[in-house]
Amino acid sequence: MNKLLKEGLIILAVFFGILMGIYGIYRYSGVEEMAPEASELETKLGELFWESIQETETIIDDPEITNPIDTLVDKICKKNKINRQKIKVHVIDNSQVNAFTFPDNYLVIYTGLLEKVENEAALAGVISHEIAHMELNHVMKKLGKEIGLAVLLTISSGGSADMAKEAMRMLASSAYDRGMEREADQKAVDYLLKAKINPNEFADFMYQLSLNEPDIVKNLSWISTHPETEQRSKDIIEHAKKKKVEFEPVLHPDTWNKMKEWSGNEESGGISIQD
Amino acid sequence: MIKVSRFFYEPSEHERERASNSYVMSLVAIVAGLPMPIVNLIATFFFFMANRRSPYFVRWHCRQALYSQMSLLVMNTVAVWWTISLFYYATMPTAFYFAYITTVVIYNIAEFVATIYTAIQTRKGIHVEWLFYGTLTNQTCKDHE
Repeated sequence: MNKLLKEGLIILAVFFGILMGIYGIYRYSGVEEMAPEASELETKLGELFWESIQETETIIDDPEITNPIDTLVDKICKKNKINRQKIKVHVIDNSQVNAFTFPDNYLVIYTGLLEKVENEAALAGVISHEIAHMELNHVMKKLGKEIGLAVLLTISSGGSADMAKEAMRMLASSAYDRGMEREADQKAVDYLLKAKINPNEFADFMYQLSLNEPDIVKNLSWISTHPETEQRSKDIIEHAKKKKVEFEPVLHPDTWNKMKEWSGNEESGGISIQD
Repeated sequence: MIKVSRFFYEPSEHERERASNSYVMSLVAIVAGLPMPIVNLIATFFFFMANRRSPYFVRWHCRQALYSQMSLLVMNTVAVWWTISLFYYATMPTAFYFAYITTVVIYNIAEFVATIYTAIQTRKGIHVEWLFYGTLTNQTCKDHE
C-alpha cells in the first residue's frame, strides 16, 4: 500500500509540477494579458448599449443631481480600492425605481429611484450593489448565460441593432440569479462598511419597497426583479452586524436635500436635460 | 515511469494479441473521449466487462489500460466543462486555464505514446508495468480470480 501511495503522490506531484511550471511561464510571458480581448468585447457592447439608451432615453446631466451621486461613487470606490475612472455613472429621466449596470462598467440610475430613496445611505447601498455586480463580472456572466457568447459577438460586430436593444432591455429589467444577487448584497455591505456608510439603511430601503410591492410593483423594476427582497434585507442586516463601524455622513444635508427636491420636481422642469 | 519485465508465465500468441488489443482499444477511447469524456468512460467500462474472464495476462493489461484512462477521464472532463463554462458565462480564459489545458494535452500525448509503446511490447509478450497504474493493477488483479 505504501508503494502505491508513494507512486500516486509522485504522479500527482508531476502533474501539479507541470501545471504550476506552465502557469508560471504563461504569467511571465503575459498570457494573462489576453484580458484586453475581453475588455474589447465589453467595450464594444457598452458603446452599443449606451448608444441605444441615448436614442431612447433622456439623460440627466444637471450637477445638482449628478454631483451627489458622483460623490457617493467616489467614496465607495476610494475606500474599497476600486478604480473609479472605469465606472461611467449616468442618470436617466425615468419614473421607474431602477438602477442597473451594463458592460464596460456603465452604471445607470433612474430618477424614479432617486425620488424613492429617503437617505444617502440607502442610495449608496443600491450603488454599492450595482458596483458589486460589476466587480464580480456578473454582467458578462448574465449576458453569456441568457444570450450566449455567439450572439454577443454578433451584436459587438454591429450585427443587429435590435439584438442590442433586446439585450439592453433584458439587462435593465430582469434580475441576476439568486446566487449572484446574494453575492452582490454581501459585497455591497462590505463596500458600505469600509466607506463607513450604514448598510441597515439599504436593507430598510429594500424592506420598505417590498412592503409597498402590491401597489407600485409596476414601477419598481429594481425591487421586483430582485427576488426574496424581505429575506435579503434581513441577510444584509445580519451580514452588517459582523463588523462594528462608526458611520459618517458623505454628503452635506443641503446637497442631499437639493437633489431630492430636484428629482421630486422633475416634471415641473426643475431638471436640465440633455438629448 | 515504465518498468519492462518478463511475465511470470509465457503468454500464448492469442493472449499477447488480446492484451495488446486492450491498449489499441484504449487509444480509440482516448481519441473519441477527448471532446466528450463520457465516451471514454463507456468504452473503458464495456472493455473491462468483456475481458473479465480472460487469461491472467490479458486481464492484467486490460486493467492497467483501464486504470490509466481513469485519471485521463477526470482531467479531460474538467478541461471540457471548464471550456464550456467559459462560453456559457462569456468569460475570457485566464493564464491558469491555459496552463491546465496545456498540462492535460501533455498528459494525453504522454499517455498516447506510452499506450502505443506498451501495445507493441505486449504484442511481443513483454510485460510492461507503468508507475502507479502497474502497482495498482498488481494489487487489484489476482491470478486466481
